[in-house]
Amino acid sequence: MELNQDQIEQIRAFVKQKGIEFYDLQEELVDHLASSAEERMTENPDLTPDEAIRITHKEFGIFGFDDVLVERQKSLGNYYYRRLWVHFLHFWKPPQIFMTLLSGIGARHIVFRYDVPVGPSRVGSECCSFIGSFWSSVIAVNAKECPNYFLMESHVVCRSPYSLYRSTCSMCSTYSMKP
Amino acid sequence: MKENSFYKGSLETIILRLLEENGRMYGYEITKKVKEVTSGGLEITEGALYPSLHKLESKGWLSTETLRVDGRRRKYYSITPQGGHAAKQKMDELADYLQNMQLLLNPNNGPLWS
Repeated sequence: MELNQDQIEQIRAFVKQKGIEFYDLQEELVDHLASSAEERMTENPDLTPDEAIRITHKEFGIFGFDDVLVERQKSLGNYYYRRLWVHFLHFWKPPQIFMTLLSGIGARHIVFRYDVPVGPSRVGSECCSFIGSFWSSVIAVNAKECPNYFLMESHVVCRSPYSLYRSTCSMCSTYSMKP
Repeated sequence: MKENSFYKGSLETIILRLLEENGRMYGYEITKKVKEVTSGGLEITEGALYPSLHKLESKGWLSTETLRVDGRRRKYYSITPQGGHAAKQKMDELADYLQNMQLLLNPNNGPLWS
C-alpha cells in the first residue's frame, strides 16, 4: 500500500519534531519510515499510517533517532577534518609554494614599486609579478569551469593546467583535486 | 533464543558484502535483505545500520546518490573501489575470527566449513 503525499508530509513533520535538522538525514529517515510503514500496512491493512510509523520508530531503539543523529554529526566532523588535512598537505607542494612566493614578491613589488631602482632587481621583481598574476588569472579562469568551485576551495589551485596534482573531481567529474 | 548483538562487530562487513553483491541499495532495502537471506534469523536494527552507513560513507568506502521515488527522496549507497579493498580485508579478518571461535568452542571437530 502506497502512502500519499500528505502522509509523506506527516512523516516529515514527525522526523523534524524528533529534532532531525539535517536535510539529507531527514529525507533518508522519511524514506525509511515510509517504506517500512507501507510494508506493514500491506501485511496488516487495519494498521493506520500513524501506528505503522510509530512501530518503526520504536525499532530504532530506546534513544530513537538520537544515535543516528550523533553518528551523523561525528561522521561529518571527521569528513571535514580529513578534507582540511588533505588540503593542508596539498599546500606544501611545489606549485602552491612557488605561487605563494611569487605572489608575495609581486605584492612587495607593488607596495615598494618606486623604491626599487631600475636594474636587475627591478627586472626580476617585474617578472615575478607578471608570472604570479598570469598564473593567478589562469587558475581563476579554470576554477570557474567547475560549478562547485565555491564549495571546493582547492579546485582553485588543482585545476590549474600547470598543477602536477590533477585528478578527477568527485563533485563535477572534471579535473580537480580528490577529497 | 536469538541474540542479535553478536552481529554488531561485523555490521560494516555485512554492509560492504551486501553492496558488493547487489550493487546500489538503500537503507531499508539492506535491513530487508539481511532478514530475507537469514530467513529472519538476523535482524539489523535501524539505530545501528544508519550510523554504520554514514561512517562508511565518511571513510570514502561508500558513495551515495539520491533519486526521487514515490514522492520522496531515496538515498542509494554503493561501494567504492576503496571500499572493495576494505571489504576483502574485512571478510578475511571475519573468516579468521570465525575459524578461531570454532576452534575455541569445538576444539575436537575442527572448522565446519573447510
